[in-house]
Amino acid sequence: MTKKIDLLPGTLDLMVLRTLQAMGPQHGYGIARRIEQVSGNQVMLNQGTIYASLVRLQQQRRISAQWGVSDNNRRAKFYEISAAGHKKLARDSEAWWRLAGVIETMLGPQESGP
Amino acid sequence: MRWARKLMAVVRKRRLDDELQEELAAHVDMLTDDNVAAGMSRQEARRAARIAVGNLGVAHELHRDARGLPTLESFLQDLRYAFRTLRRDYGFTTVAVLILALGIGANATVFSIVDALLLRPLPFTQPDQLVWIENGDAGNPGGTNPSKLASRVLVYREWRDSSGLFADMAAYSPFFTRASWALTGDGEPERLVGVRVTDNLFPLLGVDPHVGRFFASEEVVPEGPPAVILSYGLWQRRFEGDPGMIGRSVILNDQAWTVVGVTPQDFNFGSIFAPGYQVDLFLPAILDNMDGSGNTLSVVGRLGRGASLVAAQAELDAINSRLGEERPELEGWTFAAFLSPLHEHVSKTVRNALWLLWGAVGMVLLIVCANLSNLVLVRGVSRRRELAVRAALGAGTGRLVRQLLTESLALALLGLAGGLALAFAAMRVIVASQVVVMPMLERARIDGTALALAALATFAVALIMGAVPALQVSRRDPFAHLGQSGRGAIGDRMQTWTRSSLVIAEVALACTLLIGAGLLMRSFGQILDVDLGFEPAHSASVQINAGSRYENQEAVDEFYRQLVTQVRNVPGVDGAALSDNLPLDGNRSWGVWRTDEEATDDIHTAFVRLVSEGYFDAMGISLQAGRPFSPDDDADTEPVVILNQTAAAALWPGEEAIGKMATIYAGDFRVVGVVSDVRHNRMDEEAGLEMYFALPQRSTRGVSLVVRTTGDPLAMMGQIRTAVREVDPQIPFSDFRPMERLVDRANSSRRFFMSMLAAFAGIALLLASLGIYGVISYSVGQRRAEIGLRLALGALPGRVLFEEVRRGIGMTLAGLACGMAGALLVTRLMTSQLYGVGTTDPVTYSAMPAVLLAVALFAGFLPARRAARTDPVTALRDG
Repeated sequence: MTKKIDLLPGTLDLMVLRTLQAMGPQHGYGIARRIEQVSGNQVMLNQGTIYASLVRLQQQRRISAQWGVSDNNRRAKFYEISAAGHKKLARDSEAWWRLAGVIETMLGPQESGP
Repeated sequence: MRWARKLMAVVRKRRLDDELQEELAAHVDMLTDDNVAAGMSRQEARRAARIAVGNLGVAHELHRDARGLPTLESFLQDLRYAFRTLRRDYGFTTVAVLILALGIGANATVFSIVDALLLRPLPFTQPDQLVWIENGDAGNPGGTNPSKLASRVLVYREWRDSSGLFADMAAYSPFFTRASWALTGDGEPERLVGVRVTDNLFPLLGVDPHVGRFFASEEVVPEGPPAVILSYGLWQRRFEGDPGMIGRSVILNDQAWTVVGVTPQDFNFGSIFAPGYQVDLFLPAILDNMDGSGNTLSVVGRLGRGASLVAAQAELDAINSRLGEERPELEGWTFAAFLSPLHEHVSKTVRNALWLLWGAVGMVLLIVCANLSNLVLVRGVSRRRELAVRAALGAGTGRLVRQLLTESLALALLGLAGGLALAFAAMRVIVASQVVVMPMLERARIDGTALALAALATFAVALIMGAVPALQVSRRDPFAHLGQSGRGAIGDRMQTWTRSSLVIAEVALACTLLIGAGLLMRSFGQILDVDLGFEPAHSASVQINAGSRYENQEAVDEFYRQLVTQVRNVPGVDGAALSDNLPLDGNRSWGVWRTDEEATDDIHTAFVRLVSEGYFDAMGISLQAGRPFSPDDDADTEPVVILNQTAAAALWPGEEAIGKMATIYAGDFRVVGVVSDVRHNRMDEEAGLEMYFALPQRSTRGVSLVVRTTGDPLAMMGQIRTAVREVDPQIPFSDFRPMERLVDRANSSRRFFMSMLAAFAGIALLLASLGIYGVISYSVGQRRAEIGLRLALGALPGRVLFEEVRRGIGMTLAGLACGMAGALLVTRLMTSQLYGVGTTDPVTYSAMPAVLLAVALFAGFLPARRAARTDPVTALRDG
């Protein structure tokens, strides 16, 4: 099994926002689950850490939260992306793509070193 | 905004934690459900879920850090821990907090007084433009010419009208304490203090009336409508703050005066211009009527924009020299102008003493620092193992240092609270009791600035006393202490050295303070021993005014005669007489010269008192030569004067004064007697020249009745009042006061400074001895086993006792040497505060260190005796 990669700082917030945008209102467990699935289990994620990201986004008014009941009848807090969250996601995604482009150019096509 | 949310998160910590707890629980449950669905056993599923979620504590920690303010929270945590530790160490905490409270309380109190008197600007508009213009002998600024209080109307007018640098000048009559006003009509007749002011005084100061208006120009001319302005205090007290008083009349000295205005609440004329007097009324100064009667006006000026004091001084000097040439009527008069900023003039008498007091209280704070550092050091040793354990468990040095600093901060906060409580109580006593006569003292209060400064001082102390053990922690390898037993501190020379030097510093500072306080106390003793020239015990006075119902001078004189006779008949009254001017209660002076010489040759300025016959007996002033006034000295007989010894010697040096003729502006007087000098201005000021005139020959309508009684004068007030009211039922009796109160008031600020400094020196003494006790007690405790061993090997207990006490003496002597050297330097600044003792007074310099040494010996003796009584067996067994 290949070693899982650590998340870059700030990327978890981005993933959470993207997940909420794609899935609509969702509880913490659902978000964690979704990130793991999408990443193909390549990301090292202590699921408990996701809540720190959620509360931070909430304080920044990028998501809102509300207590509700899950599919299997459990009380859970449901998070929903806000307008500010959409804006932030758009901004950060663009920055991410540009950065990824730069990194790709810098590192160049994969070839063996000297 | 986000900060507010974060702060809210800190406040709502418990609820947010609970919510997260619930969320995480739901998370684990849902994951478990899914795992079960995927085919795991329930137990296995739960375990897998737990692993996936990770450490719940970490999740909580991350959550808290993300939503809140991590630094604040760890600080609060440290603070909670600190308070817990302090509660456990009850004895240490109590002592430390008390010490701190004393230091902080003393500092806050003194600061608020310094602030009120020296630092805060005067309560007027643009107060730095205000200038006090003093009279005096030309070319001798700061001289003690008795006339310097006031200037002539003519001179004042000339200054005011021809100066280009002054925006305006205003004046008041400073002799108001003598001219009292009787308020009659509704209610109990009352004696009021009224000041005559020019119409522009209030506008010049920038004071606006509370209600009504100030004087109009037609009210300050002769025959103008009589108008009066009430002080806010009188208006509230006597007229219930009724705004309808404006335009109504009040009866003052039997005449109707129209109330035109009320001064604002925060305006206190007496507090600034005449400390110790409560001024009730303001009346117009009719300059045209005052012109002939000498130096009658105290002058305040406001400099124009950009004008400097130096330029203004030069301008007035030029005007004065021109006046001297142009105005022959000024020939022989004292007239000059000495300018000083008004604030400086007002605070002149206390400035020096206050700076000293501030310095002293700063020294107390230093001692407090040294003392607390020592306490904390000693405690630090016993806590080493605790800190070592915490370090071993993974606390970083930074974290431990922060915790120690937090602990001292917690201590300091408790001390601050205690100190402020002390300061508030002290201010109540000092300000509210009104026993201390100092300008603007009523402004002193523990306000924002004082609070901020106290907090700053507290913070500094906390830093210093927290830094000491914190440095130890960061310097040493904490693990070293884990292996050691509690006895490990024997060879810690560095520490012992630090502690000893702290104690030496404490003793030195305490010694300096004690010597300073000692000098002040000696001065005060000398002052109390001063021969006042009169006998204040068993005598009292009350102000008497012959109102305008006595239409001529004969009627007034008859009234005076009856009054004195009536009072003398009261059983228990040994003497009664009248004077227009009591000692230590205002003054005035006239020029006097020998009739056989030209006036301009040798003119003297002498204080003036108009007295009735029997005055010297009633006051206890002793007759040195000639005769006292007799009932026969009246308007129909030869005008006579009685001089004090100084005046007689100044006018007729080496000659007999009796029988000679002296001249004042009002004519020639024969000297019939010489009496002893009376300290009339201040107790610490020589009498100067004094002359007494017989009241029936130079009468006045405002006098004080002096009564000498066999017993306590206050006990006889009722009978004396009855006697006075038999002659005139309208006479107010509200200001009847024992003469000793005048003496107390004259001494009050000196007494105040002395008591304050003595209190600080007392605190310093206490703290220094506590320091010595602490150090010796600690070292004895640490070396208990060693001492036990020596005793077991045959050392004599007396020897052990001696050695320990010797350590204490050594530190004390070193401190005393430094302290006495410091005192020699510092007390030089006190010269102006001292009376009758030099700054190197040998009595003080031997007595105070001796006291300190004795106290230090005792402080060292207590733990030393404990050492000598050590039971060798127990000591060795317990280690």
